[in-house]
Amino acid sequence: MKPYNGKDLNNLLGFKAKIILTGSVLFSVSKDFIKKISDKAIKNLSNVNNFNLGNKLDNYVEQSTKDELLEQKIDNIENTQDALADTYHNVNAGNVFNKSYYLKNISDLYMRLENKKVSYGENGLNRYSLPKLVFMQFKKNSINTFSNLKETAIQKKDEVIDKIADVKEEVSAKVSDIKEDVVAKVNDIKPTRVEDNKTVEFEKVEVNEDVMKEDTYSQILNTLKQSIDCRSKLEQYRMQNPRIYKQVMEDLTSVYDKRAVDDDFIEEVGPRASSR
Amino acid sequence: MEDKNYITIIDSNGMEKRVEVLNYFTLNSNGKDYVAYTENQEDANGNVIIATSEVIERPDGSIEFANITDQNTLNEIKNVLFDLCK
Repeated sequence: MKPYNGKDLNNLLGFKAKIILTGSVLFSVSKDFIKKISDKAIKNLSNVNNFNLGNKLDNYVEQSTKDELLEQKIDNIENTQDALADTYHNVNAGNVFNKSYYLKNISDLYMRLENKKVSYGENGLNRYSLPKLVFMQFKKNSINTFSNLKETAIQKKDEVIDKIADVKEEVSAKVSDIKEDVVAKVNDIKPTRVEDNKTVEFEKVEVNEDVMKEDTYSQILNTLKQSIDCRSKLEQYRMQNPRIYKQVMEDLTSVYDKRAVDDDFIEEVGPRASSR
Repeated sequence: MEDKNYITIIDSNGMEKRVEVLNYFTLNSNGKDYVAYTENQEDANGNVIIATSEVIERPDGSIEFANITDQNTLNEIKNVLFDLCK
């Protein structure tokens, strides 16, 4: 038997990773061995794709749900803040007694008039006369009403500020709960895939370890590519260089032992090594 | 402290008056500001005369206590005065 030169074979086929060499027992490769190896790789690749796609879809749905919930919460916060802002405005305006007018702080008028000329016309005055007692009551009420309004406004302001703080705290806690819930759900996701129009829980891909030692996507893809390359090159050698093709086929039959391929894929022809 | 509520207003002839501001308010119906003030003068019956005006800020930055011509607004202002006299 021609001594096997693994390096040459690997270079020849570009199939470096998964050929297990013993040389102790010889097998020939069945006609569709390469095809089946490719088919198996494709099947495994499909499973992995399903798994990855299922995970991605689940994650996307969870993320979308989380985003939607957060958006709703943000809307609620904004609506609450708008309502509180309206309340705050009304309180500031002293409009808390449901009257057709609201008193303003006279000091605001002084600030408005500061260093400004204030003109009036005799004809422009709207005059009223009040009995002295009524006039005194009018002055007193004007001051007291404004004081009451101011006091109420300050109280309402405090209430609004407290309310805003409570709402923010409550929303923050809810958002935190939602996040934790989403994280927990994501962690509990069981990958599924569709099979025969049914959603089934994903089972870990059982990759034939004799074909592919590791089941990562990139390796499966690489193996698939190598298998295709192998078939392509073999065909090329068969057509263009029968001598090399023959050499390759001999090497193949000499290097795959029983651990490297399924029984279904190979046809045992006996330990030809000892006969050669 | 009472002086704090006094302001000086000037008529069209340049005559200045010192008046006491009684209150400063806004009508909800039109959002405009009004002022009630008095010179603490009495009429023939011994009643105290008070005046109300709309507070308008002119483009040149000066302030005018303007006449109120709209009857509905006058009625509303009367109601304000009555409300505060109770």
